[in-house]
Amino acid sequence: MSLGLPGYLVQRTLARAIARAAHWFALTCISAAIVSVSILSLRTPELWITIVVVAAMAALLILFTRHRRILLAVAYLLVGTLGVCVFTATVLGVPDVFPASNMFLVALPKMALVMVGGAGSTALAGVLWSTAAFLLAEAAALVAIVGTTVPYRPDLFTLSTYLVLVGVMVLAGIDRRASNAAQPAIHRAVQDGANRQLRDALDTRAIALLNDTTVSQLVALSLAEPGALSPGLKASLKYTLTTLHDTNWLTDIDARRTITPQSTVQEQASTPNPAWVSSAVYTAIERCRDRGLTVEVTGDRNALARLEAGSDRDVGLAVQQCLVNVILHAGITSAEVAIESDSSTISLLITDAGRGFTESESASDRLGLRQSVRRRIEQLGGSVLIWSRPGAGTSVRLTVPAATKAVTKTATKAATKASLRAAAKASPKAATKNPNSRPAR
Amino acid sequence: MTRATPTPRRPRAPASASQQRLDPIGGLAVWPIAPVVALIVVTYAIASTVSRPHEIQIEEVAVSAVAALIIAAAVLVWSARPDLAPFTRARAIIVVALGLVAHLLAAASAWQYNGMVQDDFAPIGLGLLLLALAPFRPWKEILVLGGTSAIIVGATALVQSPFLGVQTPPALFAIIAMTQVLAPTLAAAAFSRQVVNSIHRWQTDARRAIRARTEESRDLLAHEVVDHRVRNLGADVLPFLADVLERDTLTVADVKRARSLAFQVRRVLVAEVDHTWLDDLIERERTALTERGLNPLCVIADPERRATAFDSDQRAAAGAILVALCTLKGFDPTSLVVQIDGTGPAPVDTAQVTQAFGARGALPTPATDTTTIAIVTAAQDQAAAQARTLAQAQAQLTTRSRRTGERAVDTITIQAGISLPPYQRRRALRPYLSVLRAVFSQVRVTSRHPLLTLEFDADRSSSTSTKGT
Repeated sequence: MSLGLPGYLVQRTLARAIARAAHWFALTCISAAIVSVSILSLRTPELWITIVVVAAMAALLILFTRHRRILLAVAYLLVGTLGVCVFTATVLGVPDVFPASNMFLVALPKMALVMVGGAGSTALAGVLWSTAAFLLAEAAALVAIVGTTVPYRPDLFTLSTYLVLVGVMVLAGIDRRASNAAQPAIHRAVQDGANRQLRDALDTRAIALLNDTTVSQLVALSLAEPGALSPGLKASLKYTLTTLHDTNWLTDIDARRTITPQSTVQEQASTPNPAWVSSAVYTAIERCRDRGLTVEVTGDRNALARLEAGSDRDVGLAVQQCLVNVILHAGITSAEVAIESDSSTISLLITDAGRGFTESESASDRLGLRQSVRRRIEQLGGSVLIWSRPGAGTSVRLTVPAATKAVTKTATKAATKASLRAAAKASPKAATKNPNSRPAR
Repeated sequence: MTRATPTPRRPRAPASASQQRLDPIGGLAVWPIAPVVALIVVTYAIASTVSRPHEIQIEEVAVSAVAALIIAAAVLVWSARPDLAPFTRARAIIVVALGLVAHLLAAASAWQYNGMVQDDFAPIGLGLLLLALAPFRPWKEILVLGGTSAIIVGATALVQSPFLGVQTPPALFAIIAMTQVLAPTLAAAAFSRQVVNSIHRWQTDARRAIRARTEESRDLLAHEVVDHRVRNLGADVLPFLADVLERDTLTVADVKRARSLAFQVRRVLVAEVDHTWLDDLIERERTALTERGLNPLCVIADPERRATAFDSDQRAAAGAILVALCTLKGFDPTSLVVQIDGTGPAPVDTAQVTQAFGARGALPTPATDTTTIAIVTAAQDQAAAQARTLAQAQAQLTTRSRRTGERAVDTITIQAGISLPPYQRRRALRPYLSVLRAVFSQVRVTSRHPLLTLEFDADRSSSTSTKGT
């Protein structure tokens, strides 16, 4: 909300708003004039002519409101002047009703006429237009009053309306330098904020990635027995180093995201279950299987196709972190990943029957689950629930929102639709064992 | 027109939007309309009352009518003052209500002796007061207030019609009196609507442009982040891992080294995770001040990371004033202190810790990390104990505040020494303060030369309820 108008738009915006205001003021005056003379003409029928002239003014005013053309302004000015003359002469000509010429009723068309100036594109033009209108209206009224028996009194209503309008236009036209300096500063602050937000998002991802790779790796090394490296450790070390040596691991992920459609098409041809195999969760599970964990996958695997590319990537990394935790701490070589979905969310339950943990063991350590799992999932608008007790294993439930329709942004639509159709056929409860699951090494 | 290619509809401006709220700096520029209108209203009321002594029957009532209108005008000026922004609905209602009271009193003071309706000061005064609301209130509200006033004014004219000096149908008096209120009302409403729509349109476009510009810099930012991270990893970790891989064996020393490196890296990462936008902002200002050859000392105290609860507008506004303060002439670079505290639970991040440790036993085992249970050092144990104590204290605070239904309010206090004459300082900061007033629920400025203290509240009640805990 703090993004105010920049200096170059202020004058134009105010001018347009003042024009709008002036038109409505004029329309109200004209409407009041029409209703008033209609009531009066019930008693004195010769007033019909005033209704006609005021109605003509109203029509021109509406036209002028719709199309702001100089020609229409001139027409309104001329017809208005004539109208004021006829209106004043006719209304004041009704015998024994009005004591003097300075009646508000008589001023109504004049005030409407003065408002023509509000449509001026600049303050100066506006002041000139309304001055012209004011002079014409007063002259026309004077001519009309002279022809009647009513004594002349100066019309303060039109005069003050004119002065207020001119005052407002001049006020709006004044340039305020102090404000001009602050507006760009605010704009810059908003832009900075947007940049910082993006930077934070990237940084969050970078920290999570570092935690997944570097820290996990160091921890794995610190827990390993001295001696020859185990094949699993070697594989993960290689993976970490190749990831980090790649100078652009963050942008690479984005690049990969944009390439995804092509690669999925290729994979589709060779595998029977394209949506599942191309998902990041699958990749994560495969990676942990490479490190020696037996992972059993159950549930509605194809539902993962409903995740956007970005969400899919983050969910995959979160699942990976959970499984890495199993590898490192659970003291067990198998885990289960159950995928459930409903109309708007997808849940992944990562369960192991391992050691479990208590809060006191790891209170200060907040990074793995907090950053790599919780933050990631919460950035996607999802939630994380963790159950664990010493000796009773650990369950982590990740719930993320997913597209409700068969339309995702980056995945190929055909693939998604096919997988959804398959998902619809297979009841989520009739979970089949994953044919891809491999035994532990 | 562009009918052939349907353009996406722009989102509508919220119904509560006014020029002052959407564009506080613009609102600042138009505020003189209030004192000018107030002056006209008061002058006209006095002149009109003095010039028609023969119509007034009860002088006290006439005087109190003028007094009521003067108070209405004063309330208008007071409400429109930029340092008391925003102009609330209650203030608008008070102004119009006082105007109506003035009208009724004026009518009563000349009861049965009023010569003409058209020269009564109150309807015109009321209309002008409504006109002055245009930059401050949404158009619908102006319309409702004006419509109601017009009906009351029209009814008063009808009641007076048998005693008036002009012989016309009574409805005519009502129309005349109502027009004096309605014409300015409609003008004000039209102005408000048009300005709000224009600003809203511009803001939508500007936001889109900002998003696009941010997206453009994505690669650059990603590069910077990676650079920063890899540099932070130090020259140690990568060579160490590569070395281990190359040797294909692990020594006892390697294990030890891996442990200490893991601890170091993790500590750095945890510290970085706890960074907020405010830290970044102050860091940048600090660098800028250092570059100017100054020796800055900027202190941030935000132990609960409440800065994370600020929305993007609040961040932008707070950021803008911090930058403005730091670049102001006469700013004492060693004096800046930014502090955030507040009532109610801390924002989500810390709240999670609270939830995890708050109610033992009742909840499932807490959300904690298991990655490095193995490397718990004495220092970490201590940190754990501290975290738990803090979390427990917070849990108590949370439950207490929930029980009393207290709002979550984050208060940011900015203190800076600025050796500028008060007038110049006010002038320089006025636009920023007007923006702050639009996005924060309360803004307090106190100054004891040369120390300036800005304090503003961010009301978090709506956002917490949607996020839930």
